Amino acid sequence: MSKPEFVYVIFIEAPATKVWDALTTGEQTKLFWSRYVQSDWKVGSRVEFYTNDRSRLSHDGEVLECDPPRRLVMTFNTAPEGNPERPSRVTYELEQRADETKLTVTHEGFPPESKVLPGISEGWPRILSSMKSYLERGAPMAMTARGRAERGES
Amino acid sequence: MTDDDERVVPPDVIYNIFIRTKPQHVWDALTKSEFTRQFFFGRTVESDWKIGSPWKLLFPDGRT
Repeated sequence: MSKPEFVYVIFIEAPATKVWDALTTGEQTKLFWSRYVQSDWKVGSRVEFYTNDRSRLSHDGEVLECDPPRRLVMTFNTAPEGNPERPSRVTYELEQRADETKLTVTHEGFPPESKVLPGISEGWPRILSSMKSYLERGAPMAMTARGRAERGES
Repeated sequence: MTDDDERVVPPDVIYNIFIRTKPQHVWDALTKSEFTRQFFFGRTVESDWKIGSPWKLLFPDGRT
């Protein structure tokens, strides 16, 4: 087995259920991710990531495993954005300690010379840093809204 | 410019985090003991941060 291409670990001062809800609820992901996630999170169901106004599908995938609030595995397909690269795979692992949750995001299964890998390598730190701010102080980072403005999204 | 003996090996771990503050504040937090004591399990750092100088991470009881 080769090493996964991207692993990000972050500790967040919130219970695992709060972290899980933040990652799986569109009304919350829109705040720190600038994407509205939609799924019933059943194995085999589709996962869709829309722009915040839900006018455009940004990327989608399929639920492979779902064990709330501990583990979620889904495919990650950027074809809706016009990138026909074969889907990669995202795993969230949540481990509650005392007052904090250790969140590990693993993103793997990229083809050689992937165009998606450099993008997600910058994207996950932005999303997860802003999510930590959102969960701990109640507001996402200003850079999240700034990014939307720069991309011309509402 | 690199030959086989000087091949650049990618680092094992790179960690990026975005923090709402100025670079100078992050720098001070990483290099000054009055800050590291608060988040680094009570440990303090000791160095003049000049190239070639040693640096030490000290436990609260003075062990390195």
